[in-house]
Amino acid sequence: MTAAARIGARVFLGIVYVFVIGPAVVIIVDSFNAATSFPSPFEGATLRWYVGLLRHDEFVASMRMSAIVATLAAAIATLLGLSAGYALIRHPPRGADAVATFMMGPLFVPQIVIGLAMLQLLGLFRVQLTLAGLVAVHTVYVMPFTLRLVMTALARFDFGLEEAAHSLGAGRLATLRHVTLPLIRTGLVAGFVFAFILSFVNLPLSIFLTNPQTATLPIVMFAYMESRIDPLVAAVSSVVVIAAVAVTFTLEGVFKLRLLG
Amino acid sequence: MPTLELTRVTKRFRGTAALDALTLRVEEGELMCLLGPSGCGKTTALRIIAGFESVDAGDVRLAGADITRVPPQKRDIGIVFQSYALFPHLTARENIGFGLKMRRQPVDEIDRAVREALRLVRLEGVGERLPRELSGGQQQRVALARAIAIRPRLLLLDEPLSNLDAKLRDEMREEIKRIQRAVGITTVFVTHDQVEALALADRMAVMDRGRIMQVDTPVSVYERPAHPFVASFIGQANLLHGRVVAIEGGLARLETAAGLGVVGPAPGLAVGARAVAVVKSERIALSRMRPPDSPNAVPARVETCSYLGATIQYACTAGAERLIVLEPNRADAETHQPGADVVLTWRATDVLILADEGAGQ
Repeated sequence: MTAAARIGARVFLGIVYVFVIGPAVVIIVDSFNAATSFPSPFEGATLRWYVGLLRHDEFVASMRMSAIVATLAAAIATLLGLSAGYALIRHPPRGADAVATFMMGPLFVPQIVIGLAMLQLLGLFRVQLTLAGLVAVHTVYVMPFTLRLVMTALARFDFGLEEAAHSLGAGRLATLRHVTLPLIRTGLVAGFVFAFILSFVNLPLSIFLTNPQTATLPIVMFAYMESRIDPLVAAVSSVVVIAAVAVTFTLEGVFKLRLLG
Repeated sequence: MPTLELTRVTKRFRGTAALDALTLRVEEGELMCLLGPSGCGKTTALRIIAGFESVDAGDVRLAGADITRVPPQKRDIGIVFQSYALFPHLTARENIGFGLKMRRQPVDEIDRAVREALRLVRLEGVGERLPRELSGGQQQRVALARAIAIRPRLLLLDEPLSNLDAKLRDEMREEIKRIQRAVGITTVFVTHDQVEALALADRMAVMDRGRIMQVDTPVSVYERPAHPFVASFIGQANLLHGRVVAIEGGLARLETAAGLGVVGPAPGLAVGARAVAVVKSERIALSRMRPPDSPNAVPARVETCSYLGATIQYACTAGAERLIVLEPNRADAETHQPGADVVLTWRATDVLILADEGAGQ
């Protein structure tokens, strides 16, 4: 690589960093801003927005709700993605590619359309807006991600190892537990994390499908910002960003123990 | 009682028979080799014995019990896979102990068995390494130890030496033989390499297009092939197609279409039968002069001469026939240059005249 190309690459990398990390940094700085409107120039450091957040029951409850919805949706989507991905890779039916593409479908429909359609569908069948319904719709939306990551992991998996395990006396479940799952763990965990985050921050689906009891964090933030804009929202966002970063790093650390390399 | 018995096992893939009514008996403690070119069905046979493939017809018995529909995890058959199939996330020790762990053996019992298996394959000291930290030969030994550790009723080896370089292959061949003898386990070994089969097997089954052409000891298969395919597949042999024109004093005379005559035993053949004379390349002597009273002496011309180290290979033409001759590379042997006129001789007992089934009698 020439010196000019190397400098160009550095600059490009810098721009990527600015655009990826920059907004998060701005938000975190704002969350400590003593000014009462948002966004506004930095007037002085304070923790009052964090204190305010802890006292704001609606935010705390919605964070809990988002965590519940995201955990359930990601867990179910990971299980379904694993089952579907395993079937499509290990025992591909006729038209496996078409099936896989079909399962990617939710990615190609605007979420706001899915949300609206689901609302209408639920109304048609006179189904209440419940937590189960919200989780179901989130699951449908995040499953393409878990499926794709499981399929990628399985495509590199040597199914001969399953035969080896069988020959050594391991049944189907024992083989799955001791051989297949440990070896595709990266794909499973990455899929789960992806799905969790996408569900946690989702607004366009939830906006049609939540009620006051099942209001998720993005819904409450959106509602809050319609009436007021102060750094409390920045404090909420900072907590989410830092939690996401912490989870990602923890998982990375767990994985480097054995799988990579 | 035979340990393993396959009876008229048939398997079809998309209409073509991978195995065509295959029948085979492997005796207790025996090392049986399935040998054949790729696509002959030997791997399918192995996978059916292991339980990875179902059969369309026929049955498989192990120690008298019908195991045709028993799933692989309940067969107690140890397998060494061609690619070894070691679990990459487990250490050598954990790989070897895997089968015992699945059988819920106590931990100290597993420990003891793993240590014993590591000693048997001479791998003490690398037990804590992951497969990727082991050399090809070491991985092979771990795979063998893992298969043996469960004390299986039968051991299957699928082309176990094909991933090793030539030097290591010879070494592992001897190791496999030593370990198989030490454990005394009935073994079925699949290979396309006749040298491996000849060196390792107690008996070998030569396969072609889903059928077994001959089952016998390596010496018998080599010296007395039962079928032209076996003769052409094992060793370096010249096959001369023709017709039996005379039988006299236990020896038949075959003449090729081009008029080349070959004299040798032709068990079960009558005058007029279409036949193939099999003449092993290394049994042909090449000389300048015609030796006195040789029943088989053919004037020929050297076309090419290839130096192969231990042997020198001559391609000769005798009229319309082409013969390959292998001469040992001795210091006192004279070499013949391309274009030289020579006489090829061989003894009648070094010839075998077989029915030519391919020609359709």
